[in-house]
Amino acid sequence: MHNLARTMRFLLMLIGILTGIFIGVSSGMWLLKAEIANTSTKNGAWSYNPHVGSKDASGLTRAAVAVIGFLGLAKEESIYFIANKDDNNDLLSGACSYKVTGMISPDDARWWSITVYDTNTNKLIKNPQNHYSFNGDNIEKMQNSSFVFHISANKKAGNWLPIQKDPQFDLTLRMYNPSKTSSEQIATLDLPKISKESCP
Amino acid sequence: MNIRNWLLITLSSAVISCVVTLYFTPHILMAGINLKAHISNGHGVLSIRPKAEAGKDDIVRMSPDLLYSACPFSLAEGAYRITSPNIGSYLSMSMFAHNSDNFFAINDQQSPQGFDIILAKKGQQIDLPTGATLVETDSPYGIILMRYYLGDKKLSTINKFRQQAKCAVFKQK
Repeated sequence: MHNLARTMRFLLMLIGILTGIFIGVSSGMWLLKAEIANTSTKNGAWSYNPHVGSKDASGLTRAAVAVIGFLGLAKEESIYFIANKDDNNDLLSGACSYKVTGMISPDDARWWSITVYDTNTNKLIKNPQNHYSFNGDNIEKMQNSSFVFHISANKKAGNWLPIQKDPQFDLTLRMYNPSKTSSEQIATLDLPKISKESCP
Repeated sequence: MNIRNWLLITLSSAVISCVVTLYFTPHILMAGINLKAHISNGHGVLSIRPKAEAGKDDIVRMSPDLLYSACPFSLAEGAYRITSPNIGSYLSMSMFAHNSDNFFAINDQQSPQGFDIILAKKGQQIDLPTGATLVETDSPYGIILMRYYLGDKKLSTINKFRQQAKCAVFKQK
């Protein structure tokens, strides 16, 4: 009887600790996401965090950056933009299809890429084609060097990035070895447009 | 156990977990990488990672357009020498401290003859080999990351160059 009471007490304590850890980590992650939003610069649908790869970030900002850009490089080497909404400010959803149009020249950056990630896990989204991104060398461009690609769960003609119907996703635009103009005028750079094509 | 004690335990562990998440996420992630390295290959081994693929990407937001090679370091073992030939397209080497600070980065355009870097503890006496660059840090451990741009090249072409790169404890004469 005495042992049973002790075991019950231990179990209750364990449940309390685990509940506390769950609440603490969840609220911590929520605060880190808020910190990312507070310290980011907006450019259309894209946002840029100047603290990725920076040595000057505070402890809190550094932790926030670790969640979205762990082992990221400073802006002299690479600029990272993230978009989780389209140009109409609607969250990107796997249930819809989107068109991304733009032009990034070698004068803006040495090379660029746009990758699709699952917003909840920050990981690549599984698809049978194992196709997750386009870069300036493997995308089919128009004659004027601009590009168009589609993002959808159903196959599209032309440049197409497959996603799954369920997850909320976002895009990361990487610009490696950006020009001085690009890294100094982040808020006004002409970045790709993200428009919704259709939604069920 | 009464309800007041239970709430006190729950609240305390919530506050501690929240503070740890807010301030120690980079340290925990970096310590995890180092622990994993220690268990598998040990420090001072350049691991050539496969191309990023869904379900096999253990670090957040890996780029499928880059190939990564990683070398976890622990300066308790001594200084490290990292060498790599250039690949004819974008290649960079970056170094991250135990708190995830990016304290050094260099790319192929800044070092057209390839990389020859000695990483050492601040103030450590180093007999620097001719042509090598010295990088000093206060960080006791961390990770060295090489990024190779794949572009439209074949994986096997870049892999030939990746296999020539080296990261090892530097043995002074």
